[in-house]
Amino acid sequence: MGIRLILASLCAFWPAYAQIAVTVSPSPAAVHLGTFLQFSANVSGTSSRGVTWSLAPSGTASGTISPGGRYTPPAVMPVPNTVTVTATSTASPTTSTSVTVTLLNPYPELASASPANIPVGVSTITLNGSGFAPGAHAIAGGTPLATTFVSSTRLTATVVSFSIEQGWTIPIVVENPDPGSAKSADVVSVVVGPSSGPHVVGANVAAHFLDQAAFGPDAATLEHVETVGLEEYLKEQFAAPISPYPDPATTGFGINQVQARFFTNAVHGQDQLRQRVAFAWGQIFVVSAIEENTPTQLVPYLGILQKDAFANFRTLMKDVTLSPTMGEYLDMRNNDKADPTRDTRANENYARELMQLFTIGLSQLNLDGTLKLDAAGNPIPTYDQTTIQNFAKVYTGWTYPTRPGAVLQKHNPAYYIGPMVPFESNHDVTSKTLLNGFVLPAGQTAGQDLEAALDNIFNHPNVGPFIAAQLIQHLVGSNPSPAYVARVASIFNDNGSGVRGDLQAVIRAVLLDPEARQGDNGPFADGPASAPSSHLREPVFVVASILRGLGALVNDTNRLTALATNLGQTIFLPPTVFNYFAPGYHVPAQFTSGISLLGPEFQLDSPSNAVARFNMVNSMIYGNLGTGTVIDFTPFSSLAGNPQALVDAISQAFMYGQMPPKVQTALLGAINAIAGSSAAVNKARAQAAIYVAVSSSYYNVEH
Amino acid sequence: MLIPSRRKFLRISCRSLGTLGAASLMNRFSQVNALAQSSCPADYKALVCIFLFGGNDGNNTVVPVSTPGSNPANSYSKYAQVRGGLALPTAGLNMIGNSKGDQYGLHPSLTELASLYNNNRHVAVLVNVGTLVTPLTQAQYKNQQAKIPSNLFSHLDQQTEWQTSLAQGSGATGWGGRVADAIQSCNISDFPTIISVGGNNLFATGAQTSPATVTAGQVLGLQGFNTSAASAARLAALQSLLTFDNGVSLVQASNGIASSGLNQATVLNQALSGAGGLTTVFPNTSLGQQLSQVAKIINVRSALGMRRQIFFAYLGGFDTHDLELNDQGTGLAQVSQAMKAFYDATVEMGTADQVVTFTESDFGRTLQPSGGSTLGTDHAWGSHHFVMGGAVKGGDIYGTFPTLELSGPDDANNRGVWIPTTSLDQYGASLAKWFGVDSSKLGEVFPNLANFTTAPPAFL
Repeated sequence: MGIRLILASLCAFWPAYAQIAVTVSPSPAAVHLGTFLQFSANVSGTSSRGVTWSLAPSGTASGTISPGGRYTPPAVMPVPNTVTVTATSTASPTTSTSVTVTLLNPYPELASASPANIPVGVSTITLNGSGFAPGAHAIAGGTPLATTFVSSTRLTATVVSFSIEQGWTIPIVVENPDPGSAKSADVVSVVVGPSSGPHVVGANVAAHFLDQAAFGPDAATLEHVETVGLEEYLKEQFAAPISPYPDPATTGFGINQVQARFFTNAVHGQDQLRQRVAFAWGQIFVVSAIEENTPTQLVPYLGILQKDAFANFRTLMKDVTLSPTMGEYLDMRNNDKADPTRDTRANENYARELMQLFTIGLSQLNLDGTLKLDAAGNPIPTYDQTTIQNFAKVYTGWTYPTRPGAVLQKHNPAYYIGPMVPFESNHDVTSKTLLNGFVLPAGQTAGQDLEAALDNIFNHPNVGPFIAAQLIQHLVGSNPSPAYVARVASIFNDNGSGVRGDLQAVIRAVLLDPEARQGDNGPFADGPASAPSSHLREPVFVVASILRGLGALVNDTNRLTALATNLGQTIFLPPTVFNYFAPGYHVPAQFTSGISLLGPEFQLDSPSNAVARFNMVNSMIYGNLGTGTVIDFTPFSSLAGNPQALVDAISQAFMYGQMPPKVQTALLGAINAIAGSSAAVNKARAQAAIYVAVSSSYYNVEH
Repeated sequence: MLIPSRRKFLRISCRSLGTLGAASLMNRFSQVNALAQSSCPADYKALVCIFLFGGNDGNNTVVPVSTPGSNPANSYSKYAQVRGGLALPTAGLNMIGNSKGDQYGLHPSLTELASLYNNNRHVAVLVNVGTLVTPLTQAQYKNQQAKIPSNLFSHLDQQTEWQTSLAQGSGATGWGGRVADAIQSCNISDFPTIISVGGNNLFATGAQTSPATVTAGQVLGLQGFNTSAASAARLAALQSLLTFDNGVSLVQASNGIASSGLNQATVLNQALSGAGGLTTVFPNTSLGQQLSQVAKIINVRSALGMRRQIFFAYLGGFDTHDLELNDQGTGLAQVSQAMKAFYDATVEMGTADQVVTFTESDFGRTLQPSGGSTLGTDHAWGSHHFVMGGAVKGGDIYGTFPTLELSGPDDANNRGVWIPTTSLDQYGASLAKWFGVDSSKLGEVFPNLANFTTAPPAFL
């Protein structure tokens, strides 16, 4: 009793006598612009551990610091490049500790080089990106280039190339100067060679092809494909370096920079085919940032889809299966073997969706993708619930990758770099009966079971037609003929050299098939109404292809994500593992005169979303998209004094140079209602005509 | 597949395109309708479907506590034993009774629904309802002696079957759409009977009718046009391309959908512009805002010329393979709060007795948990659902509660997968009958209904 009383008295007077101290870490500190730094403070000598954070010099030129100690540097480097962060004890406002923070230049991010083709000799190229600091310079193949800083999003550089380099692809990176000198992780490239040579395919063919193999045609790529032809372009694209997603260390917690990079890559990426195909894989092997909602989780997964876009399908299957991000999304990570004490069973989620959605589907297929039927005319299931429970056991025992320096546990803490790892004693070692009665013997390791199970699925005859049909739907058209599916599935089964699952061969087969090339030479003069190579552009493609056609400049500060969100498609946030839309979605028969037609993208195209598409085009053509998206209408408005010339330019940019007379008449009506010849009038004419063209169903349904 | 040549293609009707600003409400959406019924009621009624995507776990939605009257085999301790770490403590449950003197507990997040059940008696619970082609015993299921729903346990297929009420699969129209086919002609205007605030879906798609859609928060109608000559010319150009048939079906489909959207927006804008607001405050959640939009449209039912309306709303996030205790609670709280606000809004509008709201979901979930760092459950079958409205004989539980026992009498396999004892057809037909679909037409709307000869649940 007495002691307590004494303690209480002491406590009452504690502030007057105690030695209160504040320590702050990290100290000293340095941080790159465009990132942030989390400080922590430790207060000793008092039970009141709170501190208030302050910043000197005061004002937004120094950046901001949150009540929790998170310091965000300013957008522009202050002079001098230091600020002082101070933590003050709330219990003792006279007690504080300060840390000097050295501000470093941002990490440069490089999105594109323009032009993509340079002639032999001296050329000036424009480099677009973000985080460029004054004094930044470009490096071509290791050689620094004479570089002019235009803005934080643009540099110009002089490239000197020699005749021996003709045909070479020169990689370019950007390096910011000190303080904090850093090179861009991104690499763009320019190709040395005549920017125009004899055309081997027409503009109509090249443009139609680029709606399938790229995010629509832009002027430079169109010219290039006309020059090299479709097959050569595919070869180049298979070899083109990857336009990466930003390093999670540079993005903060939100995925908006990752989303913005999707559009930067889609509009400017020189690996258009890889970007397009990786996005298709992401719509088949779906994870959603509804759950995988930080760059730390999402970016490594996007990296797998990019890396494996042109690999073997079996490689893609394994890399996706062991991705900690997918493991988290479909519950294969920390999937415990059956536990009698808790009465739990292995989680069935990944077992089910890997087969149902990613590889074979629910029903047995013929080579041409049509359903196999039993004697009674019913579809034949590929597996049953027992098969699912057996596969669920295969996928037990895996956990997050072990962090560097940590020790493997049954349930490793969340970590997303590298493949998941097995914790063998948590793996179900009983025997398992898989597809077509294949039996895994008891006693195998998690890795042995996994490899054999993935082989069992990979070799199922459904995979070829299942994947062929979906790739065709994503790249070419919603209603491929069975013969087209069979041709692509055959290549999946055997690329001609006995290899199964060769995705380069499969993609070539998809894009060069006569059915994909239907429409190259005119809008279906004799084709069926179903137009097998037609499909609705999904919202993110509408955005990207309009911007490419307009020659817009986009960088990572773009706000394009919101445009497609309003049409029901937020990039990287499909609502479920079933993607934004289902491959089997039928267009309501009321709108197809009773013909039964698939139209996966139409699942998003509700009547109200169709209206919203007009309004999205309105925002793009007439609105302000912010500094991250710059549209220069000059190439079109400069022609507006001659309405027919303007119409022809729009036809070249958006309708393969084949705009039908009725569409031309509509555009001319909109143009001719705007009288005058001023620059403002010419711009208004160009905008009106482009609005009518790219909001139309004729444009929005590729065909 | 037979593909008609482009010459045989029938043009999508776009007859009202020239009158975007000032069309009458009449005859704008009319179509030949073979399903239409001849007798029409003159009052107003609405059905509101709330689809819980992912498969809501019924086992933790309605928990047996003391149930000697409805299923003496069940008890809280048996439930808790199998559910293990997923068992909800009794202390948090919202207790409800039934007419047999039993005690059940609704999920702790369902406070508002429990209150409507207990105090207002305007909420009923229908237990173990699911997709069925015919009544099915456990033996019939295990020996495959009767028609079994196609692709059980698959999200997409079971969502489809809940929307089509055709458990054998391959349905091209939804049961809501077929109800609309039957009753569309009873409305004074031919604005669509169904309005989806949840985008395109099969539930709302009929053979002859298709739904209007409204997205909460999205601008209704075209932006960027004014009264200038240039603007008018650009609008005329836009409209001329909506009627341009280049022979490609999907281009025509896109035009038809866009034309519908423009017409619907015009009509809705016209009706909504004259309406006063509602004072009921809706939660600022996805479902809250969807149901707020539904209430605003019901509020202008007279201006729209509607006697019968069906609405489709949804909430995702119920596929609780892990983190179930957290995620299901979040989802059900949103459901309960939004439904309560909607009920209050119907009271405010004087339509509480004329609006029935009901839930659907892919399937229930296994009684037995699945392992992992955080517990969840896998895909199952029969589950429990809510019906709300002044016309509902609420405060009671309908249907047969399954015995919560692994490999027990109601289990389709060994993890607690309930073979439904009430079919979706019976559930839907009860709703459709109240809504005013002729008894003679119920068999067309629910083709499997005739397979079920026991009396449907009498919650209305």
